[in-house]
Amino acid sequence: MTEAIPLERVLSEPVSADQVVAIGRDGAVSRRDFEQRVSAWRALADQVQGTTLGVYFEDALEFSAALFGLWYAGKIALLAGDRLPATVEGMRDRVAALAGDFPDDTGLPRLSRPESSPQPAGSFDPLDPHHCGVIVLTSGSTGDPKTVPATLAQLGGEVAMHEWQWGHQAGDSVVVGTVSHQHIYGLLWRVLWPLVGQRPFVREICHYAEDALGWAQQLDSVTLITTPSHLGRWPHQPGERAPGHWAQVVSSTAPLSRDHSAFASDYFGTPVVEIFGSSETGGIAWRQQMLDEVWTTLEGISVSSDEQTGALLLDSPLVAGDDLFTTGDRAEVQSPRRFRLLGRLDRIAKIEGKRVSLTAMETRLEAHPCLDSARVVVLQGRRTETAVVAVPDEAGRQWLAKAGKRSVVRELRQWLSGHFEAPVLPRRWRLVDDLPRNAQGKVPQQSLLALFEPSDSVPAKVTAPPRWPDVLEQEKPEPGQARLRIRLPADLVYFRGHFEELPVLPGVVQLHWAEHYARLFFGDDLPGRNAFARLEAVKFQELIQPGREVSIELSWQAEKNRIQFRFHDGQTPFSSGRMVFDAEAS
Amino acid sequence: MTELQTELKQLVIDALELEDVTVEDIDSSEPLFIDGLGLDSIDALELGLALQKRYGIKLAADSEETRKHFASINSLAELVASHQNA
Repeated sequence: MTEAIPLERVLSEPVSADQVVAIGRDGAVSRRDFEQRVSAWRALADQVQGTTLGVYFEDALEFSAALFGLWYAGKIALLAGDRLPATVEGMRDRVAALAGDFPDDTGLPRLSRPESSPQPAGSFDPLDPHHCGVIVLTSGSTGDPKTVPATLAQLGGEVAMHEWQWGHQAGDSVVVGTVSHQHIYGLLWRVLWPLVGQRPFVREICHYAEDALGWAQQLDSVTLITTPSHLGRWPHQPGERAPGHWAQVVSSTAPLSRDHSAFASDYFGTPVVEIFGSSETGGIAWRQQMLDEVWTTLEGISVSSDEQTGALLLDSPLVAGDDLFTTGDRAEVQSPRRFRLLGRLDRIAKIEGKRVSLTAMETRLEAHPCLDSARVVVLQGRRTETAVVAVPDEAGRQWLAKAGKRSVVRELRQWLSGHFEAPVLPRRWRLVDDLPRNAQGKVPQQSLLALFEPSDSVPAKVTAPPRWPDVLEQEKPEPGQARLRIRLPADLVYFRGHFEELPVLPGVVQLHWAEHYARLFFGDDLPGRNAFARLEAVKFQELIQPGREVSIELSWQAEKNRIQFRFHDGQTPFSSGRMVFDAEAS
Repeated sequence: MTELQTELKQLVIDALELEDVTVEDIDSSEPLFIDGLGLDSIDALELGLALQKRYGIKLAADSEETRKHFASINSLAELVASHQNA
């Protein structure tokens, strides 16, 4: 590793032209190439009349070049996390032009990939640290977008802090990330910190664990910039170790669970550094949970707590203004540099006059042996009430299939009842396979609330429960033969009361379906219903439970005037038999 | 299950906007509050309003008498029946 460089002097310091700035699937990008890209972007940005440009790139290297090009042209980069039409619309009044991978039809002038000049870029002066480098467009806690400006001094101050604290640990590893550089966390850690620390970064985002693992196998050493969403879903076998050398793993955007921290430390063979921060403040504190659960502030930042609200207050050189910055988090402050997070302030809800911490309720729910994760929202209807979106784990799913939603919900309410007063107990529950997440891995409040919209529950009330399975596949390989693959909806009418504790598909329904589908497939050949004579060799072996996928094989044996049926799932036989018709009666 | 009991169960479900609960799910003799259906003091108020609206019965919320009548669908049915016969 070489000496860290202040952000405003990244391009003005003399550095070897062969130094690798970034690595991509197409190979390495040298300092020489990078400077040429910056020059090209600078020339392009110089022609823009206004000051602020909307910037969006998939490629972190081209993004960095455009960012520095804009800065040298005296421009400001407005960063949004995506380029969805609504986001571009939100940028329209704030920008003079767009730079990068935007659609053609936005109606705004668009700058895209300028040609590099074959000439060397020439020399760069230091940038003005007081220049406002970026404005981050972020969703506020209420859902309305907020703009957060940051000067080069603020951005540079923060990455200098990271470099001072972790530069030695990261060494000359290559920085790979599962987060986008379009957000403040990725901007600081995936792009600016590597540039300042003179270590290469990977241009492409690693959407999947496999992408990051691939880089680790190709490179001598990597540093991973990721989130609890990724670490909590990292595919692995018990006891498995990640291939390659991982110099450091950084996790931010939300606190990592202790279990996931323990897993990641073992799996990557390096402690996980968690960063606590926000778009408004940048990084605030860090911890290595396996050593110490308490958060320690980053160098130069001190904290206190608001006596009335318990809010964490911040004294940071990197936050504009002289006043203390009030965060939206409650904290138990142990010293000016150490604190415990107690949850979000705005997550204290008042339900019919009673205060409840939604975070505490989530924590209690997540401690249930059958739940993976849970979110609690507040609904305002006839009464203010809490509602839960929960993800059952494997055991929970089995329990749900067996006992039914009502019984599960009743027990979960019971599980909460000792900890919360009756009026704040959740009254509406959605047990789902996954929490609704956006591309950043966050769970937007609106998506949770949408699960409780009347449009969601009204049809469920008025629609009768299904009487038929979902047919997934069907085929008629040859005349007289048919195969179906079906799934049994958990709310199938026949599961009701059959039986309360262990709902199974009644045998008579299987016979009924066998005949029904046989008539659908072999309709013209089959004798009429009144010709039914008898059942033969009917066997019911395994039980068919809600949610199960089942194959049905049917054959019409015309010479014997009978339907042969078999319900199975590969090795598992559910039922089989024959339905014989009376030839004369038809 | 008498017609009145069925009607009262539906009233409870509608008035309190209970989710995932059908008339068949409610046992006429099971406690409505805390243990059984898990209703609370605010539900008692809502239920009192609904009874008043539908049957013209006035109840003092949170009184000993209310608690007795609200014990189960059966006791609610008795209350409504006695009121209608009166």
